[in-house]
Amino acid sequence: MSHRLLLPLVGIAAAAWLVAAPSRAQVTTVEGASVQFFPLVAADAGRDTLIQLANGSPQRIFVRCVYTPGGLGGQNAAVDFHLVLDKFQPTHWLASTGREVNPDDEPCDREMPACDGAGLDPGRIPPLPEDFAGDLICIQVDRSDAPVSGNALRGVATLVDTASGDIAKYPSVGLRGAPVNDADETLCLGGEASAECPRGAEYAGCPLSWSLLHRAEGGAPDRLQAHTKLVIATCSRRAGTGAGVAQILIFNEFEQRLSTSFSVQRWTEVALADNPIFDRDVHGSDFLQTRLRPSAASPGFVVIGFTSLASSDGAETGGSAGAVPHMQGVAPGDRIVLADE
Amino acid sequence: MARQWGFIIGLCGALLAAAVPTAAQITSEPAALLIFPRVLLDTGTGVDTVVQLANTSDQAVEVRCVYEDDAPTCNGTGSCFPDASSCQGVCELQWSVFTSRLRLTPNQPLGWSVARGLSDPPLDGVDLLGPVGSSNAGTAVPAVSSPFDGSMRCFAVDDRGRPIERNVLIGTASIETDADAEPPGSGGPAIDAARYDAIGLQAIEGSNDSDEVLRLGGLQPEYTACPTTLVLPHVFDGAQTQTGAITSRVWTTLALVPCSGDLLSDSPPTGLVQLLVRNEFGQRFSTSRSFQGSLALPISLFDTTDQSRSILSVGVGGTLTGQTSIEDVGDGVVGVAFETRQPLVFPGAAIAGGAAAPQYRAAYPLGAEGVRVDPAVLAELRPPCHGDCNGDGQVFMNELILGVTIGLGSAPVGVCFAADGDENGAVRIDEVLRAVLIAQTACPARKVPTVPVEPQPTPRPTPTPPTAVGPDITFLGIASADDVAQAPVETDAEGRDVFEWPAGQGFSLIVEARPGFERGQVGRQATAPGGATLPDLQVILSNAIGDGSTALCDTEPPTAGGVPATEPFEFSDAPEVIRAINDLGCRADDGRGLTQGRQVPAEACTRMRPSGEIAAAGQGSTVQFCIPIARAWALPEGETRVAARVRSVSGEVGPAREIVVRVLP
Repeated sequence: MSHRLLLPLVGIAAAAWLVAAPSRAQVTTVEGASVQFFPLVAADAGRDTLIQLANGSPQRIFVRCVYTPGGLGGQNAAVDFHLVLDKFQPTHWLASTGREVNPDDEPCDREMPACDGAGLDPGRIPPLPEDFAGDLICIQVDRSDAPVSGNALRGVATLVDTASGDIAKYPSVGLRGAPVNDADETLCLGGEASAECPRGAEYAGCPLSWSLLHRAEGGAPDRLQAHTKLVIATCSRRAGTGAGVAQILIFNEFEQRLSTSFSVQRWTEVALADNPIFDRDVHGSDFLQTRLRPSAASPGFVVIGFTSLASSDGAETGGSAGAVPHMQGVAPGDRIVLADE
Repeated sequence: MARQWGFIIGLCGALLAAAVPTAAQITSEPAALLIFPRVLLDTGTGVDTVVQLANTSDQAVEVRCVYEDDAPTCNGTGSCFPDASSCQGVCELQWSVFTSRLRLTPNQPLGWSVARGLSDPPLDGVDLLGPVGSSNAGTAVPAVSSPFDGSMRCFAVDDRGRPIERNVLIGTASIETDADAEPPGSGGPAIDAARYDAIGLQAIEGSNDSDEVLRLGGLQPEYTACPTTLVLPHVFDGAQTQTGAITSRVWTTLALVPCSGDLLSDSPPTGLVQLLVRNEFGQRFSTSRSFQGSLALPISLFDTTDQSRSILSVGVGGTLTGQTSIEDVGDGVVGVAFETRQPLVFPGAAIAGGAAAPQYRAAYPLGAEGVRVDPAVLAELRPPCHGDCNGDGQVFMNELILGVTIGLGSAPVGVCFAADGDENGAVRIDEVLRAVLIAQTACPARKVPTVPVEPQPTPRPTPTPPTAVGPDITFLGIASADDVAQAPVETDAEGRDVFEWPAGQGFSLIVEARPGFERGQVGRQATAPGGATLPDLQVILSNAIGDGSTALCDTEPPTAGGVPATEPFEFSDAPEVIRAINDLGCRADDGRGLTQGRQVPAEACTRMRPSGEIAAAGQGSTVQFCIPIARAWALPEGETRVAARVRSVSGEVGPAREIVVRVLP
């Protein structure tokens, strides 16, 4: 193992805020939830996304979903649709094609293993416009289309490389709802009672910090090289400017830490290779722990990481893998506004 | 060092839900116990696993990791790995355990490949130290030999190797392929990775007794419980998906590892999982599978050796995707799923499936539901033994030499805390001599793992005999929007149960009934045709709900409305009462959109806590009606009286029952 020491530390940030153990995060990737974030849904030249959404409840449920393109201009181009899922019903759709309601779809059988539309269609799911990269939020609502804390939704997304067939999967990030939900169009994620949220938190707050374990960019000369990308989306929607700052602390195997920050214009996709602070040559270390949290004035974030591998000469690539970083703490409070009231 | 696994240790009976902590189970947060459900090494196919483990705290932490290998071996010629097809003989389970020890400095990430191990940690304590003199001294993860197919568990321990309550560990594993084969159509060697996060179980503050037996859940738990049910979203095996111009065949491998186990016993644990498969039509299929050790199989091999006939194959499942619930009848399991796609058709060139085609895998976590009320017990450690540096229950010459080396000041005490019997940070000659004596005799015997005696569950009261001809109401109350039946907060002066809810919507009204003494079946219709006559379920309200609209069955947006009050508040054949009863009945839902009651317990809309088990709320119920209360028909603030009665299929109406639902301001 290389013992190259770190270059002069780039601003040893005051890390106590990140390290001090905050209170329990209430976000889940394993339990059912009332709000599910899919931070990256892509249907562009090189990628497509299979979304799987399921009802984990013995009750029929209703769902309102919103695709939002990345970037500040996204809110005007959001695509909404509604779903109905019978008790324990799973469903799926491909982001580029959506899913039509077609009662004549034939069920799969041994002679017809390609049967994309088979099953109860949950409602019309529109195809995404070309070159879409952004996120998807699905919110459980009641039969009259008002938000409800049913905690019945589970999701998983599969990013498919449309050139090679390589895949990366990640679970959606769920916020569990609380009984105090007032069912209005403003979803209060964490935080104290306020004029906007007179009952306080209706849903779990977004995590305060996210910790991703990953390899340093580059890699040892004789081994596979790893490249990691972060997708960061703000938790708040249609509230405020949508801009935020993600503060980053990077710990290496030598117990050294570096810091940096990313500007997040509601949604961003960051290749760590674009910032030398993540390089193996800078750290002399193969493995890193990167922690991300919103700055004081920022909305909370939802984060996922994607790693891909390349041969040591960089000629061949593959091995995409998705991961939701580990979470800690609760951000001060975010809002999702479904519609202007 | 190799050890044999053991049978699952002590089980306890079912517990009352109320007696069990309802802490969340598996977590994405830092934890004291991490489980990596699948670790794989196969040099023949270029597969290795890269493990990453990190300390999230400002203080160093000791970690003990145990690899558990159950790759089968062929008792004849050939190999059983990765599959048994080349074995000219019988594939036999070989269960072996490797223990390793790590020391993570503050906030430090460490990583290693299973094939290479970690023998040269970054901060070796000699040439390199951390900023405050910390080091990885004593860290040694052995390389394992190929093939290896098993799992790994890591525990936060103190510097003596005793489990401690420090929820500071996070971990990931990446199963990576770097094969030399040229996959057709891709123009390059196959590189692949499937990454998953270790499953974390948090230590419960103030409960760890630091012995070698770890109690997960149950009474006096040291760690949070394993989930009752795992939930696997999946594509049915053998399905073909088309993405862009690529058509791929898809299958899913499910890796499970028991929560309980005696890592120092001679026999592997056994398990029996029940799988309940649901497709996109809402149809259900079930099967079960027993196993020894851990289990990692394509899901279509769980119930048959002919994958095309499996209920988890696309040909039988009937839809592209499904949702499968996995429940262990023993002490619980945890696991991870791997989806594999094999492109069959690339742009411009069709290739046949099979070994030549590249395969791309991706890992993803299983969902979890409920908290197990019976404990799982994991016995992993030996009792402290003076001089036994590696914790294998024996003291060997190399360990005596290590003790002497520490005593001479040539090595830090951290390389063998067991040599420092009085824990004063140094090794004296009498401590070395004591280790010599133990080397000639034996370490203390293991404590037999036991679990606290659990109280017998209080038997559920025997239902009293029916008192009327028509159906008896066995439960009238509310359930939360996430399906948990609520207990009344009080009984009012009229003897009515009072239920409270913080909002006028976001819960369900639940009515359950059983046959009266006529023993006629309980009717299930919540509405009558056209709303002109009384249905089997008859519910009246003292207050209008929603906008009190008199429109019948106005349940769908944008015109969804409410239900008028019944005044006077009594059942009658008056047209407006019949209409209001039907209007409310239109809101009942059997889970498929039909306004009818459900057969219970199998079809219940309510769950038990903390187990998450689907069950009726009342005793002896045969039919349950579930009426979700949406915002458009929310109850007003204050108290609303709700009265219900149910009719049998033969037309006998049972006695009415009444409750109060209090909506808080």
